[in-house]
Amino acid sequence: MSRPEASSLAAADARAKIPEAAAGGRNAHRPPGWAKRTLIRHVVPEVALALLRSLRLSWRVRETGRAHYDRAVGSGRAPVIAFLHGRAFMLLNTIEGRDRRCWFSMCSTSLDGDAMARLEQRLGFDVVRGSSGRGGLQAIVDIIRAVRDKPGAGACLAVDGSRGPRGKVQGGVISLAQRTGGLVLPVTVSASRRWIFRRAWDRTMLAKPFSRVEVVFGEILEVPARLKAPEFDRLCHELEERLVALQGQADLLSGNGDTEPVRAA
Amino acid sequence: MSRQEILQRLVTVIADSSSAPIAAADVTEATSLMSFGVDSLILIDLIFDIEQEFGVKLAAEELTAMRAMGDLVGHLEKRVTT
Repeated sequence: MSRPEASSLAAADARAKIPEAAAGGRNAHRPPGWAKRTLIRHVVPEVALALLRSLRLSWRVRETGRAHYDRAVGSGRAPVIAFLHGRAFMLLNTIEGRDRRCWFSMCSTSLDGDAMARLEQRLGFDVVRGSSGRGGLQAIVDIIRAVRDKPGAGACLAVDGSRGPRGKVQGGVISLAQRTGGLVLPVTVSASRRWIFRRAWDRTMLAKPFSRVEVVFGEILEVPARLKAPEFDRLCHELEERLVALQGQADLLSGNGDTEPVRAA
Repeated sequence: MSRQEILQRLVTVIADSSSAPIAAADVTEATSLMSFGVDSLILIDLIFDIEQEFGVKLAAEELTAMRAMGDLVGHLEKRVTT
């Protein structure tokens, strides 16, 4: 529900253009060398792709609420699929190539984002670069234009990205839906056996081989084209509540007993 | 299209996008864009409303760099007439 003032947003975008080494401060360091950049941009995505595809072959995927998905894609409007960042690996892996539809996604402009963008492209997504922290406003504008320009396209967005707080819906997803198909489809996933990367801000989850994977689609959230601020914030809150509830449902179905709250404190 | 005409049409567009009440008669080219309570999400509305009204595709970076209404009017004047 972040609604930063335009001036601060302009400043954030401006900072994004300054190389970290030139910006100074505690995080100043030399930019990664050629070898590291090549590894992250080209090798890591290919290894991750091979791993994800192998894992998917072994997963037993079950879908709940599939009728909501069918209604969204059958509506003739551009659907926006909304999920939490920590489940992105598993969800994108199960959405890949779905209905031969063109799906746009968004990745940050960081080096890690390069790897993620490459992976998503290899999974068949059209990737727009930017995030809530860097170039986010332009990225939302770009993804809106891309979806509108391509009939039959849809968008997939991690709503609490790119850096959290975990489980807190940022406003970009509602803006995107306002200007495209006017509908948001919340979805989440859980697994009977999984790895959880506990040190990551989003507690990334990845199902282990031969797990039962539960994909749960929620009810469509209708988003009017014109919204005043209170209504906009109410929809962000509504989507957040639905995603948290869906996560609980998916965890219950899969037997995931992780007790860490979906939303960061 | 004259600068005055662009300004008047812009005021209408901003009044539709912004939640803050706007007294059209008080808006001049010197008026700050920030005085309308524009945040990042309203900027997205503005970008697409301007595109619809004037047929001009603005980049977010261009809009956030503008401080006064006159900057935006001047920018649109160049793009609309060329």
